[in-house]
Order: sequence, then C-alpha cells, then structure tokens
Amino acid sequence: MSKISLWLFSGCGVAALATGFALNRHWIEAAIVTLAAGGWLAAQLIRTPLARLAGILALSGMVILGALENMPPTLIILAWSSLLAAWDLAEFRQRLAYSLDDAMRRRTETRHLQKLLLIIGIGASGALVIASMQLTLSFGSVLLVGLLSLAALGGLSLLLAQQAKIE
Amino acid sequence: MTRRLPWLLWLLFCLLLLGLATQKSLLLALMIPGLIYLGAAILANPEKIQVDIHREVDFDSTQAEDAAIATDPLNTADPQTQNRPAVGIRLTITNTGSMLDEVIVGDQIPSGFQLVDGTTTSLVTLPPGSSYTLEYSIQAVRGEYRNYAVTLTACESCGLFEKSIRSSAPFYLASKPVYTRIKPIRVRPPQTRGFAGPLAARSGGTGICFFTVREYQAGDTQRQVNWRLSARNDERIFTNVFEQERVADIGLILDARWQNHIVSQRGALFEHAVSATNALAESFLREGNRVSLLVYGSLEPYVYPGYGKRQLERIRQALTRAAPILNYALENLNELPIRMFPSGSQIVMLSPLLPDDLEMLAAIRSHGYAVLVISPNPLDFEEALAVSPLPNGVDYARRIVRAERAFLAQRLRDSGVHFVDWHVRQPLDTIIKQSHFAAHSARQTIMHYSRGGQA
Repeated sequence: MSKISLWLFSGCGVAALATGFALNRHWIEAAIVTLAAGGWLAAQLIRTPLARLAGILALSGMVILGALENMPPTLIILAWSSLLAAWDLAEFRQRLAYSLDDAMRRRTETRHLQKLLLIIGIGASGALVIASMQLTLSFGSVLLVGLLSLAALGGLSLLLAQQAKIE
Repeated sequence: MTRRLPWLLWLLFCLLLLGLATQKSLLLALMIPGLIYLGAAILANPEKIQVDIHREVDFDSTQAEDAAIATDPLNTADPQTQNRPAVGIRLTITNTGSMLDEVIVGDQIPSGFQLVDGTTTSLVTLPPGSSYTLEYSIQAVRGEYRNYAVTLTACESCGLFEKSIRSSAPFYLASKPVYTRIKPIRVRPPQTRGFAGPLAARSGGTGICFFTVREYQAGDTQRQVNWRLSARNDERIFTNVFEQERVADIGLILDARWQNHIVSQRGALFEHAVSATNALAESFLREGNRVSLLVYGSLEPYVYPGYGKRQLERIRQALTRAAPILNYALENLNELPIRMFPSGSQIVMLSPLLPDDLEMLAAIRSHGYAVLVISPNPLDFEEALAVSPLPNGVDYARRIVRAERAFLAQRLRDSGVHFVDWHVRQPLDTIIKQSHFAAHSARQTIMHYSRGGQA
C-alpha cells in the first residue's frame, strides 16, 4: 500500500511541476523536472539514501524556481505537498522493510498513511488559504515579521539540536 | 533526531529567506506544509521509551544432550558446526509508557550464534500496555553466553525524531561440546584404586586375565588348579592367579596454549581436541574410573577428580568454557602442575605438541605416571590452507616439519610415553583402536616371552 502511495505522490508532484512549467512555456525547466523525477524514481529503486536526498533537493529547487517564475500557486502547492509526502513515504518504506509480520505491517502502514494524509492535507489547505490572501504590509512590518520568523525557526533548530545532543 | 530534520529545516529557511527577499507570498505559503509536518513530528515525539523486556529460551536439554553425542562413530566433521541443537528465543516487549508509533526492535545476537529461523529485527507499533513477541531460532557454537542485548529505536510517524535504548535482559546459555561416543580404552596405569573396575591392576586376585601361578593353598578351588603344570611336578600343586581388575585415576590434560591454536578452512584444531577430551572423559567415567581434567593455559584450569555423571557434567562445563589463551607464563609445559594428579595415575594429554614438550612429558613418565599423548596432527590440518601444488621451498619445509614431528614421536615412545598421532580426518575411535591393538599385541609378545622364561 505504501509503495503505491509513494508512486502516486511522486507522480502527482512531478506532473504538477511539469504541467506548471509547460503552461508557462518553460520547456527546459519542464525537461529538467522530468529528468529530476527520473533520478528520484531511480533512487527509489537503488535505495540509496544519498540519491534519495539529492532527488528531493533537486525537485524542491524546481518547486522554488516555479514559485519564482509565477507558476499557478495551486500547482506549486500541490507539487510541494506531494513531494513532501513522497519523501516521507520513501523513508518510511526503509523502516518498513524490517517488518516481516504481515498483520503488523498492514496495521503500521495504514496508521502511517492516515496520519500522513491528515498532516499533508492540513498543510496544503493552509498553504492554499495563505496563498490566496492579499496582504499589504509596509517594509518595516515585513522586516519585523521576517526577523521574528527567522528567530523562531533558528531557535527551534537550536533547541532540537540541543535535545538531540542530550539524548 | 534523524538526518532528515536538518534538511527539512534548511528547506524551510531557504523558503523564508527567499520569500522575504523576493516578497513572494507563495514562497512563504509553501512553508506551511513543512511547518505543520514538523509540528506534528514534535507533538508525536516519544518522551521516553519505557518497556519491560522479557527473554525466554526454549531449550530442550534432553534433546540437546542427545544431539551433543554424534550418532555416527565415523563422523569427523568440524565439532563447532555439526549437530548443534536449535535454540528458540522468545523476546517479549511490553510498552509501559506512552504510545510508540514505530519501534524497530533489534535483538543483537552475540557472536558465536547463528540465526537458523526467523528474524531478529522487526518494526512494530506499540500502544500503551501492549506487548510484542519476537521469535526466532539460533544455533550456538561451543561456549558460554551471558550478554544478550536488545536495541529499541522508536520514532514518531514522520520519522524526524528518534530515540534509542539498549537493554540487556538476564540471560545465560551454555553450548556444550559435541562429541562422538567411543569404545572403552584399556589403559594400564601403574596404580589402581580399591574398587572393582575394568582396568588390569597389575596384581593377582580374582579376574579374567591370567596373571601368574603360585603354589596351591588351602581354600583354592579345583577350577583354579593348573593341572598341566602340576602334572610336571611330583610333589607340588599349582594354581592359576588372575589379574585383578580395578578402576583407576585418569587425569585428562587439554592443551589450551595459544601457540598450538591452529585455525584453517576446516575449523579450529582446538575444537577437535575439546571434542576428543569430552569423548575420553565420557568413556573413562562410563567404565567407573575417577577422572579429573586440567585445561592447561586456561584461566579456570582444574576439575578435581570424581566419578559418575555429575563429574562428566563438571568436565563438560569446563570444556564449554575452555578457549585457547595467550599466556606467556604457560607457553611451555614446565609449569604443568602434575602433582595435582594422584600418583601412579594414567595421564591422557591432548595436544598438538611443541618441540619443547618432550622433556616435561618424559619427566612425568619418570615420576611414575603412565602417559598417553593423543596428538591431533597440526600439519595435516594446516595443509588445508596451503595452495596446491606446493612451491619447492614450502614442500621442503613441510618435509622437514614432518620429519621433526616423527622424530619427536619416536623420542616420546623411547621415553615410555604412549604416543597416538591423530589425523583429525580419521575418527578418534578408529585411531585409538588401532593404537590399542598395537599396544595389546606388544603386551602379548612380552607375556609370551616371560611365560617362556618361567617354563
């Protein structure tokens, strides 16, 4: 079940990205996305963590590029959410390889997929809502929000790193 | 924390910085799925792994004892790998703490164990209060096993955070040596003990084998009278005296010096020596003898003399623990505590032998002990490692070493030590039988001459 979901999410993400680039007539970018998708799929087959990471980073880069080149927001958010889910499933399948008990395997898979769909669904909806909002902010307020966000994200990173060290 | 988390954080940073720099709200909106994913992972991150670990060993000792005795007397396979009984391991993990979404249970089987059935690793979901049982079977090579650890790696469903614990549940397993049962060996120690047994006691009395004749004494039965000899004498009547049969003290010495430890593709020579020691101990004890064991070079060296099945069990336990050890203090036999063995007893030494061992063995013989050396041949064993055909120089070296060993064997025999050269590809029983027949025929010859002298 997780394997089909992985291919579905990967296909959905890549298709959304390629369609977005094709709609904007950026054929080279669409070709690069297709190539990166090929690399990502190969990484799934050869099961190398580094290749998997390289594939997801390349596709993320293409998502950012698409966002900068004014691709339709729905497609960008769909692509990004699908790729995030595919990345999660690829890692999950590595852990799932340890499970040899069929009943336990099915239970774990179902539970994981339910949680993932919920998280990604909420995330994508939230992103769509925010992308559709029109906010006009002054430079000062953007700077303030930006600095606060950076501080929050940086603080979170440091906290997690410290926790990992303590463990 | 897994290696995915830093990459996810970097992506979020990039989106934030690019969003702020380019004032593209879409880039900032793209952070939302990532942030929710991260938040869900933080919320589901297990606080602490609290589990009860219980390990059961499913081991039928009777079946194991049967399996330890090789049924085929001509079996010469590596004792480390043959006939090992499968041991079932059942590991039960009960979650006494909070919900554990995905736990990888990894049982770390100690070196010396071989997995024969099942798996030692599994991914499970453990709700609070639930249990999971991991079952598999192993085979263990000879030795004692006390350390058995299990690793639990729990991560939340997003796979960004993980916690790991390593726990050692109480465990003990002894995999005793496998041996081939051999026929009784008729040794002739200088002294025997007071109880009736199978060994010739070198003194007259009741028995089966003819010992000598003496003049008739009142009370002798007619069946004992040697009529032929009496007929040749006008005045006196002679009666036959038979050799008493007693049990004896047997001292087994297993050479565990590192210098003699030879490992080839066919296994370790030491394992053959251990197996043979076990077979000899069982054989001697079955005959009612008092047997002791010295593992020379080992840290726990001596099993005091004793009789019966319990003594066999003690010896088997000592052999289970026996391992070749590099000990510079015991690199030759000069430190052999021979006085630990009762005087006049039969010493049976199992050793590939080193050239310097000759003097000490001759000294033991001169102290009044009967010495039997069963020497697993290291040259044959090592030849499995050699490439074929042998280069010229190596072939000469091999011939020289063979000549040295033959010379050592001859000198041992000259000093009164009974030397048995055991090529481990041949069954021990056959080798001892051949050697025993050789000794028996020699004794018959001596007896024949002595009888001729009396006549």
